[in-house]
Amino acid sequence: MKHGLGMRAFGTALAAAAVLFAAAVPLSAKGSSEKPGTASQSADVLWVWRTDAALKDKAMVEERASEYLKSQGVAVRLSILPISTADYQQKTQLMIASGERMDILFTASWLGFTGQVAKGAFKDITELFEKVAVRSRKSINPALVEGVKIDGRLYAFPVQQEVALADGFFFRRDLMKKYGVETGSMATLADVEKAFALIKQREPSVVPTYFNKDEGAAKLVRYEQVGGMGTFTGVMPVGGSDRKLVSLLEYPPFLEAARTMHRWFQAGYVNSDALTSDDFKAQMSAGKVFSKIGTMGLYSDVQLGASYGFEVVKVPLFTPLIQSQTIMSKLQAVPTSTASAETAVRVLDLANGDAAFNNLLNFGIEKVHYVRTGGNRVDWAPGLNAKNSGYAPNIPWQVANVFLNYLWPGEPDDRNARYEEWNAKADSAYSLGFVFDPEPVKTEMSACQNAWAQVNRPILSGAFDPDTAIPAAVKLLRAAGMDRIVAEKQRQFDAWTAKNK
Amino acid sequence: MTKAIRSSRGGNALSPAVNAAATVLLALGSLLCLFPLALVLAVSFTPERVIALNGYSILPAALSLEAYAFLFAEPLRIVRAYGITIFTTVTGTAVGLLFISLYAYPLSRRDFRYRRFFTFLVFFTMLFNGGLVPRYLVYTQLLHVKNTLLALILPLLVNGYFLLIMRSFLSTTLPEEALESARIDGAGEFRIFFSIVLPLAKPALASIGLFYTLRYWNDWFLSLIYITNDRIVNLQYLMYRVQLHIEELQNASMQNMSLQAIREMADIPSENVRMAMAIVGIGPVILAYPFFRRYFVQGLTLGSIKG
Repeated sequence: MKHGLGMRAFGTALAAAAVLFAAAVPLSAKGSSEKPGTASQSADVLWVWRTDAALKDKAMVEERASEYLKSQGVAVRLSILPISTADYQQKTQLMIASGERMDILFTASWLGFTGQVAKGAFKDITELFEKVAVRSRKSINPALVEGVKIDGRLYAFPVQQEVALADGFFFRRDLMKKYGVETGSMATLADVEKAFALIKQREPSVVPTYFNKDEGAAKLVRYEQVGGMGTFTGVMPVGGSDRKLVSLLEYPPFLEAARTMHRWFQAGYVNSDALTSDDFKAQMSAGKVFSKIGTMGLYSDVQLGASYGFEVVKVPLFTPLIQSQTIMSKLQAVPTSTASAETAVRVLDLANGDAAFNNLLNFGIEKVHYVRTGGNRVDWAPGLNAKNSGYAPNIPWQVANVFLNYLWPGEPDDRNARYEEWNAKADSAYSLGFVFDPEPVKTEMSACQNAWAQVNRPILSGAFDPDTAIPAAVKLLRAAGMDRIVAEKQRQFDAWTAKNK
Repeated sequence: MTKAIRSSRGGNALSPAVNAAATVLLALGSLLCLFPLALVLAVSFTPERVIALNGYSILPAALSLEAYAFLFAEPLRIVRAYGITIFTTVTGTAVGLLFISLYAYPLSRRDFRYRRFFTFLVFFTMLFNGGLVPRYLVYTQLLHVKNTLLALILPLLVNGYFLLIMRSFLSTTLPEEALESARIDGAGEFRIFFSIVLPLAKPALASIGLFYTLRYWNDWFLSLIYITNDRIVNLQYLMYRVQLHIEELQNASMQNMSLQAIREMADIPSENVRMAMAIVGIGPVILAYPFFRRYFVQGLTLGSIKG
């Protein structure tokens, strides 16, 4: 190796690279001094939240919450780790997979709760809940706790709130008034169609209904989703008299609904760019839309109205229904990487059973972030709003027991009574409590999800004739393995029925 | 006068008619390229309500700064994100180029005994990788770079594909004689590398540098997985988050946000913000093209061996 690149030179080059690398390391020093994820003292409780709010006063609230916890006999420091909605699922999945320390984690069926339980990501807190969660056992409806159990074991606290949902229509009140359309006269799709015809004729600049993704025809029929994970995985009629699962596409009432939707599309009752447009909210707010098809809870009309800036009337087509995936859609679990499951359960117990702690977490500190306006009523502290408040996480629906929340302007005094009435009047799905575990058909699931994403829009929006589009879609989904998924779900469901009914 | 111009045309010059036609054609082509950019710019200044009513328009019926006001509601946040992006882009590109040329140069030398092994080492990473979770484990629990600037630089620093391009460039264009003569003049390996090899490699450095710049500038995924501290997220990730946050708010009907909050959030613009983000995101990186082009031309015209 006379003229060769000697090993000595190579070694020197390596050393130089190492020096350069070492020089780059101090860059990290500034960032790491304020690492929120390394709360490693054992007396800490790290709670992961899913929120986009800036939470400038988070430290102040954590301080106050820790003091409060101490006064209640739970001597720990609470730290909240907010993760934005955009990357919540991916980030928390990685944190779970890598065994990163977390004590409480927001999770849900739509964030893969059942799969994570199967992988052992969460502590079994059945006994702890019985033993330690004294307040929550009183404040949370036992049926709800039963509803989120998997094979009789509890892996998460349910977040108590309205659990019954109905599908139907939201209409603009001003247009209904203008043309004398009564809410009570909208019992069937034929009635709605008449109203659409009227609007189409008299208000040419307003489109009678605007397609919003995943909704449309799928919301005009009633069925049990049976354990969730997508309508193509199998649905059945409500009540359990017929327990044979079929994919929504092959569910006879759906074909009728899709035909109705197609008729409406051809008549110009649906926005003509339904295949491409995702602009629903802007169009609605601009006053160019008469109605929205969708899923509704008790206060959806008030909420949508507040969001659009005008009054909205909700007209459910069916009696509200309580299903597994609704109950499972907001959960607080204790990850296996926790320092102390018992401490985590104690903190969750206070959040769900102690109004003062619950409202501190949700709305911050009295007189700093909000003020009392009498009784349980509160409003923003002077000069503050959701945008400029130093503490407005805006996620009471995922933190803890919503029935403990203070009342904000616009909410009725008897909010909780109305919630309970709404929940009580609802039908319970026969399959309530059953959760489909898609793990055995994972490959087919992702293939079908892709296929479904391709074909659902033309069918749900009514843009294509369902009599040709549905068979084509079924063919595509069959090729992707839909039948194996439905069969697997049927097998799990039958096993569940045999054990629980 | 006309005659003088005509006579000044060389044998290969175009006739005025063809010249004019070409000019017009190319001007049209450039306009076609500029039009989408102009449209994005126009829409970013259109009020949300006007977009909903009239759709996109290059000449909006009304002008407003609402999209930019929304984006810059917390100016410090965007400025900081800009700073992070510029820092990681500049550092990442510079250090990355140094690393891959230091690695590629020995591989290009035929007299380096272990070059097959080291080439294979790089090539292997192009075909196989450990997957997301193991990578995450290495970066967070072995290197401890979570929530640091290094997390935004390190993972993109050495790229097998760029490295092999560099190696091929060096082994095909680097004249053995130039290195030989340098060695005769008494230059050591480092002298040769920095004084002969790097200047000769300018065209390759320029194009790979441009790739690096774009990769670092457009990266949002590293922030997504390695950063939970709001103070060290980069620009593209911040934009990505704003976009998804708006979508989340629009689909928020099922959530028990307080009514007060819903009302406050109701007037958040969306379409124009999307465009404003594109404009803000283009930023100084658009200047990277002319900067690197200078070196392409310089590099190409550079003679390597004289005399």
